[in-house]
Amino acid sequence: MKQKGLILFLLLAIPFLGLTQSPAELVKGIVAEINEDGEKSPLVGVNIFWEGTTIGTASNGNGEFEIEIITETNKLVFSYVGYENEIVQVNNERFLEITLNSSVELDEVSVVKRQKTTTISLLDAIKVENMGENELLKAACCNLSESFETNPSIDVSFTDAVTGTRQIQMLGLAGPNVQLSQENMPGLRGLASIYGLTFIPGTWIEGIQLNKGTGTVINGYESIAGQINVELRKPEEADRLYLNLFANTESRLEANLNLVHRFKDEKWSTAILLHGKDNSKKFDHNNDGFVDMPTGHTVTALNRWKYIGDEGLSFQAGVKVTSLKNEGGQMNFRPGDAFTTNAWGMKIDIERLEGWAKIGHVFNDQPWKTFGFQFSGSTHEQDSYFGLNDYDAKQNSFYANFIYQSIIGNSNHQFRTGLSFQYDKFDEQLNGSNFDRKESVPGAYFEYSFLPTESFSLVAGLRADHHNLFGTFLTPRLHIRYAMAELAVLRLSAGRGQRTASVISENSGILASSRQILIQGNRDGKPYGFNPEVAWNLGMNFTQKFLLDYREGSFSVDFYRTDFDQQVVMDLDQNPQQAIFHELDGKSFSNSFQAQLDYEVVKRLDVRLAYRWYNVKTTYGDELLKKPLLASHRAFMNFAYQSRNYWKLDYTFNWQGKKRIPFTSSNPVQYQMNDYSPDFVLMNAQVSKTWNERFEIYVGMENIADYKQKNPIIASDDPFGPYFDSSLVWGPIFGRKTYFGIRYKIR
Amino acid sequence: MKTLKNRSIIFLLIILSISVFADNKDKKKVSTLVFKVDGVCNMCKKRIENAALIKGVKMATWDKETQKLQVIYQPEKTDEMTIHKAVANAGHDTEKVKAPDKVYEKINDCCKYRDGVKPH
Repeated sequence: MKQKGLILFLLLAIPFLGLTQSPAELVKGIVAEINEDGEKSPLVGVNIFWEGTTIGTASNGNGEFEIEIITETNKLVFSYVGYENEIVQVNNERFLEITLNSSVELDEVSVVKRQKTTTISLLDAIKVENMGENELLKAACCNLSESFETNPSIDVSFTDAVTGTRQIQMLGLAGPNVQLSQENMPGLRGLASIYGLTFIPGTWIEGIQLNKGTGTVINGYESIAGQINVELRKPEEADRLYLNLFANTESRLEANLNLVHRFKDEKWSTAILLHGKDNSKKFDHNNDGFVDMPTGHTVTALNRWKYIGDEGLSFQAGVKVTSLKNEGGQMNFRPGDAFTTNAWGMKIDIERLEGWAKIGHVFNDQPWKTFGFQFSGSTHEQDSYFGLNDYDAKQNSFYANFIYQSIIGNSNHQFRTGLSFQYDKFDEQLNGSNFDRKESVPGAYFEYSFLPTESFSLVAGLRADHHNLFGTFLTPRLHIRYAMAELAVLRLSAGRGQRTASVISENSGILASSRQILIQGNRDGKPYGFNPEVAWNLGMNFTQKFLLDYREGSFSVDFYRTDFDQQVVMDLDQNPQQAIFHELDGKSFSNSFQAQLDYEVVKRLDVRLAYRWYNVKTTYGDELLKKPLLASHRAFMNFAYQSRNYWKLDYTFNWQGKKRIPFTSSNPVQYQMNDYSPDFVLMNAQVSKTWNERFEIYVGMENIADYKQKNPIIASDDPFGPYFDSSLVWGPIFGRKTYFGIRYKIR
Repeated sequence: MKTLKNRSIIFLLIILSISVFADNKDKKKVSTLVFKVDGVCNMCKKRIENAALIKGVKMATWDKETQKLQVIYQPEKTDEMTIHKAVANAGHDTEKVKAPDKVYEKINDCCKYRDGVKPH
């Protein structure tokens, strides 16, 4: 469209140029191609310009052109999409007859330009998978915890069979070991580390950056298994209006609306992002007396502002409010039955308020030099019960980070340094026991990047933090990148991570059971009586990109090893009536291997194949056991096809190997589970069609094979008895589901 | 152990303040120069940029699409022609200086911009 406009403009402008200027010397000519019949046929709209200049024109409807002769160069370039460029030396000729040859290569280049849904840069020292908007659209639903359906690096499972809460795992380690940040500010921590994922709707997300293993020291010391950063819609570039409506056959309804306004001064812009979700009908497909998915609603709203000044100064700020109300349990449960044995029920109410601000400055004459301030604060309140377990919690957090970036000598030596401060105040109450804590951690960091050649780079970071409860600790992290060829990169990473385990909120699934919760921490003044978790991560990955038959592909393998020095272990194996939390006494590690192949096998058909293997073991009591409810083997396949007229088809196949189930053999026979779960297959598919790049309809199906874990709740017939347990979920708890929705955009 | 940790905190803070303040004291005048350099790939990019990073040059960024090299340098320490020559001596023709044939011969085959290798 733009090009046509330009051509039109040029065509209109040429005669006037001729009129207003003194008669200049012109070259005239005609551009054509040889068609299938061997005849010359004119080419319309060929770009014709003097090499290295912006002086140019385009051929008209008869393939004719004329262009003024300039003194700087005599090389005239003819360029047309799908044809080989032709460069002609113009000496004394004043009329040119040019024939362009169509080129297979160039035709394919235009296909390759179709953006890959997930990209990995070969140039960064840290391997980062960048999941773009189109990757997220492959799973139509609906929030961050559901966005990883097409990403083999992340496993998504349910915390329990009652609350319908999804949790993520990376390198076989639970989600809280992954540092989640929102626009590079640590956000979803502590109480929000599990539920927080559902508070970021898919339509708000512009992209997700994911890296396994140790990360940068700039954003803190907490990441152990990896980091996930979410970039939200930016007011300065997002669609002015974006509406998404979604419904599924289980009466889940969602509505999302993004509104963006850019002010006329081109400096200020603002965005309002809204999300509402409602689940009103109770279903019990497996006839265990329990509602499959809790009913309730979630409302969340965000408003952000951005200012981009002329002098390299930028400023942004935003607020977000979230309210979640969920109810579940037995079909006959009414809120009046709470804390009685009339019926088993659960309720989760969460209110959360977040605010943040960022100020950044780039020095215009010294573009390598920037500084930035980041601030964020949140208050999070959860009011909940699970049967007779009463759990209420509150968290107030504040975060500040000052980052200064510059070079040493020249731009081959770069550094980032700064100061940070993290404050958290927790008040938790579980069945009358109080767990309060205050953590305040000032820190300083320095990260040096050395980029001597195209094939080698190194990033070394060190941070020192002083924790009010745990004292001073150091966090070293190192990344090395070596490119053995133009398209092959080997990377190594090593680093330390430390975090305070919020043992109750991170393991909230066990609250939906009759297990007695024993927190065996005996360190005075420490959170729950425990030391922090400390782990070292070593990683190695290799990425090879290739061009085969003019279509792009990539192959990658990675291996990561995580070793815990200190860990808070949740032990479900000692006794099926207990959940024991104790400090690690012995080994605890995770080994993870993954191989992945991405290739466009036929034009516009992208295929992703992946296999991953985990060996995650922890010492429970005095026994080194496999981590429960985690598959050692997983195979993954995704096909994504896009037709020329904007039909999109997406199919995902997921095979998970058997998983170890915690010990239940001391239960009565009817309340026992096998030692291992069977392996199973999950398949999802989606079709969508877009009109005018504005309006889109999508229909999809989850769990096509309708595979379910048959009895996800132990002793569902006796929920107040000692054997009741809904936390041993190894497979899908919902059967086949169909959904549909629409998207509407205005640029 | 504890003193080591505390020392390292102090050490980090000192590095931090030195790097921030020393860097900002260093407010010597800089100039920006943009000129065309021939090249075709990311390997060329790094070669061109590294060649331009001579004494007195703070930053050099070459763009494959536009073939333009942006150089930020301190005019007190170096000058335009010296930078052109430095780049040409690494095998890449600039607007003002042609690379010596001998050096050009030595660059990787995939970088041979004079022999019809297209940007990739």
